[in-house]
Amino acid sequence: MRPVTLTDLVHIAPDLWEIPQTFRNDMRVPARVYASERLLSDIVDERALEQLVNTATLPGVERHALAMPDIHQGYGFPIGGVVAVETEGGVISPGGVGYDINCGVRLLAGRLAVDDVTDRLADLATQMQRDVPSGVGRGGRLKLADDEMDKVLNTGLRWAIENGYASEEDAEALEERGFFRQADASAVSHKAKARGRDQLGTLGAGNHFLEIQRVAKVFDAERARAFGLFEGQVTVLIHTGSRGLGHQVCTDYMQLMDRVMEGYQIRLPDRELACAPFRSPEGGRYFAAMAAAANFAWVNRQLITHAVRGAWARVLGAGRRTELRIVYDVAHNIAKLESHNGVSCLVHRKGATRAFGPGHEALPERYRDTGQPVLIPGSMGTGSYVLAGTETAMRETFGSTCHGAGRRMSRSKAKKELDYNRLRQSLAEAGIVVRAGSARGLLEEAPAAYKDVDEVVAVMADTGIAAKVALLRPIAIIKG
Amino acid sequence: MRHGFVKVDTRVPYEVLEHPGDLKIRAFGASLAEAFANAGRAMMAFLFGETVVGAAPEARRRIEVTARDRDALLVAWLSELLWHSATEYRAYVPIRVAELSETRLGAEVGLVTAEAVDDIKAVTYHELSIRETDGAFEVTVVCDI
Repeated sequence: MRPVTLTDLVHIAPDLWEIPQTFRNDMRVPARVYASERLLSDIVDERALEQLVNTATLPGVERHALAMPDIHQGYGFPIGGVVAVETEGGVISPGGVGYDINCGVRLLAGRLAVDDVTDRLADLATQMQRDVPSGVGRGGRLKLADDEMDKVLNTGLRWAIENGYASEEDAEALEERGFFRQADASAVSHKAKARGRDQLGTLGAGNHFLEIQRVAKVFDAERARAFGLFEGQVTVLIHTGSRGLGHQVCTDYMQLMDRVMEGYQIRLPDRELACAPFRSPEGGRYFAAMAAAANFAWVNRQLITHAVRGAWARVLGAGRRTELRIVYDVAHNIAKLESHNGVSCLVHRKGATRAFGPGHEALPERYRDTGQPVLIPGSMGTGSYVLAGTETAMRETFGSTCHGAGRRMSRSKAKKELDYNRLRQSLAEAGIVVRAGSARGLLEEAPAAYKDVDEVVAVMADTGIAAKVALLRPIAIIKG
Repeated sequence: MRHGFVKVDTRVPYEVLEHPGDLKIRAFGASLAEAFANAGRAMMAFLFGETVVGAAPEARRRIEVTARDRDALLVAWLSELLWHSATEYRAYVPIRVAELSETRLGAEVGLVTAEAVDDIKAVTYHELSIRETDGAFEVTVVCDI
């Protein structure tokens, strides 16, 4: 297949490029890339754009296949991709969600400012590391019996509320209120349940992390106020997903779709795009399993939230002064049923974040006027952004934006080329407390291994897809 | 079709190739069965560290997988190994693929209690290849980590 080169991209608006439908005869719609010229030159170097074009061949794909500025090569679908398909006649693809179903980001904030915690920062980080299991092969404190596991999968945050890990106010701040109603635990294999059995409330390894941060800059005072954020405030960012349970659900259904696709006369250029009609027994069953894994991920982030709150109360004392509320929780590997321009769609967001604009009925009352908070984690030790969804996103990107910095150096290269002691030193010089389970894990996630999150976010802000609200800088990193 | 287990000392059993963000394994064998076994061995070495590969097994087990074609069989085989080791906190070494056809694999594996040093999310079809050159076999597979 012919690779996509710079000359194949038509510059249709500032920071917006189109690969016309005529580029390949199996494309059903054009493909679009949001990127600055500089980011684009990085992007064409890898196979990500070829993958983007492949997603434009999916049956039922609506308007255009989209790539956000943090696009990079994934499996089948590029990471940083958004593909909306019509629910009637369109397909659902596990690869369009990815192996870490409902991997996402949650932001906690309270009344405290950095000055209030500076003296206890090291203790806070230590306590959080102790209370939130992280790293490879680390199980959590809960080992779910079969019926409890099914309740978690079927009811998500409702289970957490009933068991004292969450409040109704917490649920308000989650997409779907942390409870995907389409979930069906019976669609999740015993293998997937076994893999997730002891992983609820655990961070995992890889690029997943916990950070204590300070609000370094407020770009939009009005929205920041609505989000409950102020300059100098302390926040906590949680980045993790559905752990082994979600990985196994994707593996299982990838195999199933691979088997049945031919029967539906679907032919695709990459086996990792395996899919089935959304309105088919297999499509419906994957959606129910994905929704169950998404529920598991929301509960996972909730148990971590619960543990973080406990750690704060223990170190700083309990009470309203030290309370942490959830600002918002976003999923960046998920498929959602939504209506766009009057069409009922299934929107696959693979390494992309929902960015619903003001007035959308899915948003909690307190964010109706501002658009939803969008949380963009930077690479470890750099900045993270709080953005807000916009009307432009609703019109142009199926209410979606970027999800992070995007890796640019392989893990092995990072370990080879970067120096652990120098990394520790530069983090220490920046005043960042580090509680890392392994030197290797820290090096693999070094900022130099990632694209510049500032540049990625700038494209989203300049094109009006998302509005910048605040910049968060880490003051402590906790990871496996 | 049955493949015997042939040990080849003249070549490295596997190598880990450069891949952005992920684990790309290339495994070799004098037979396809040996290449499949070595791909499993590479996965165990990644998950539990190189030293686990030579450890004496505490028990043995038979694993069987079926799939619709040879590529799918490689993915299914490694996914099965991954699932076992991820849920049991045990390394599956040594590995002997005793039976292999286009759609079916039977392996005798040893079990070693070990602590994982890394995670794999899943085995993928991405850049997957199975090749025969000069009577030797080479399989390439990418894992999401």
